[in-house]
Amino acid sequence: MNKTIIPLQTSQIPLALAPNGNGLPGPAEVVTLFNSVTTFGAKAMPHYQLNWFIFSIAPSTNATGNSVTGQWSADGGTTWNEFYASASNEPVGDSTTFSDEVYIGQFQDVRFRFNNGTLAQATKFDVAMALEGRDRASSGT
Amino acid sequence: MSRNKSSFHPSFVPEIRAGYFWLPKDTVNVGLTSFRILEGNKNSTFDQTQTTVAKQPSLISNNGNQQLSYVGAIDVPGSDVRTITSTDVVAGWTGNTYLGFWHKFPVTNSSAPGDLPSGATTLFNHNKVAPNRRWSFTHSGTDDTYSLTVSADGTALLTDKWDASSDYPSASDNPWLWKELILTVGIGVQLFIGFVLRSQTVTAINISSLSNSTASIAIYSSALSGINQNAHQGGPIYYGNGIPSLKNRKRLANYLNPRNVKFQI
Repeated sequence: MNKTIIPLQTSQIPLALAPNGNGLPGPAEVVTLFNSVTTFGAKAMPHYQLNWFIFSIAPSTNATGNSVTGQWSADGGTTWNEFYASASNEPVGDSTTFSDEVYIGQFQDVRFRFNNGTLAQATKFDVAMALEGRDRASSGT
Repeated sequence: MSRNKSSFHPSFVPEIRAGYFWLPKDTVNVGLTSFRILEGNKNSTFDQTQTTVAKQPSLISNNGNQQLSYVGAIDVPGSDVRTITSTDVVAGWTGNTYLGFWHKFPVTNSSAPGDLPSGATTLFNHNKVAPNRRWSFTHSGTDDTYSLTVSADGTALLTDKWDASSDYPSASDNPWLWKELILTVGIGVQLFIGFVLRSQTVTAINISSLSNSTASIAIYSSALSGINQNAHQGGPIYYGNGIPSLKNRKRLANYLNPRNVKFQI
């Protein structure tokens, strides 16, 4: 399975699902980026032989508490256990964007969430995500 | 096994995610006053605009991907785009900076077919007159050189120059070239063409930080009043907050490549 880019644009989020009415994450809101139970069904992800979850997020508001976390589940999504938490600052030091690639090959189910900080996103919440099945190794960035 | 063309996106490169990029395929409203080349990280104030239809670049296609074609000043009024004057933009960083893009001087200049480039052509400009100077990469047909001009304080300028005479097209070749500038503060700046270092440097840039001026950005044209003397064409262009890894630089070069070559990662 080749990597598939999953662009998520603010305008694609139904307003009914956006608590603040503009499609942007609000204060302390948790946004699910990817959930394998929702996508493939419970315990079905291993059939797709996925190795990496890759994401890049450019929020418009750099609030304390902005982070990305990853969780795994062995019971089809009833219990989730955290195994990944993003660094608070990007390697390039701008402290506003989040980019990483996370190995998920050993898990039955995973979900990734963006934990919005204390301030609502003001103008944009730009997300790019990919699932990678071809490469066992890191991309070597 | 490396990622293939369809499985990479510039957004995944941290330095580009924290910077800015423009893909010609993201050009909208061609022929309308609302013409825009959208900034890839959805920073709309960094979109490229041109309300005068006659001055808009046209879209061309090479290797199945889209590029922008600009006509020179002899073809009045010439093409140019820039962030709109009322939204001069601040890059947001002062440290290491990367510029990478596909570029071509056409085999036949629409103004004078077969002519080599003459006069001044601006390839990338984030700059204004003092005290808002930052970064300007230009080509001079007069002495066959590329020039990068930067400023640490927004006023005083430093310039590096590199020989460009081997980059002009002949009728038989495909002169699409991947051009990169790598500015390392406190060290200097390097120009790579197709990942080969272009060594000729007349003067030397060595600054401790890059000015974070408020200025317009113009891709393949000047943010000031001057129109390019030459017709030329450009592909995807990346303005990075920091220096991407070599592997990511090659992925950027391979992405929506106008030329049927692939850099091995």
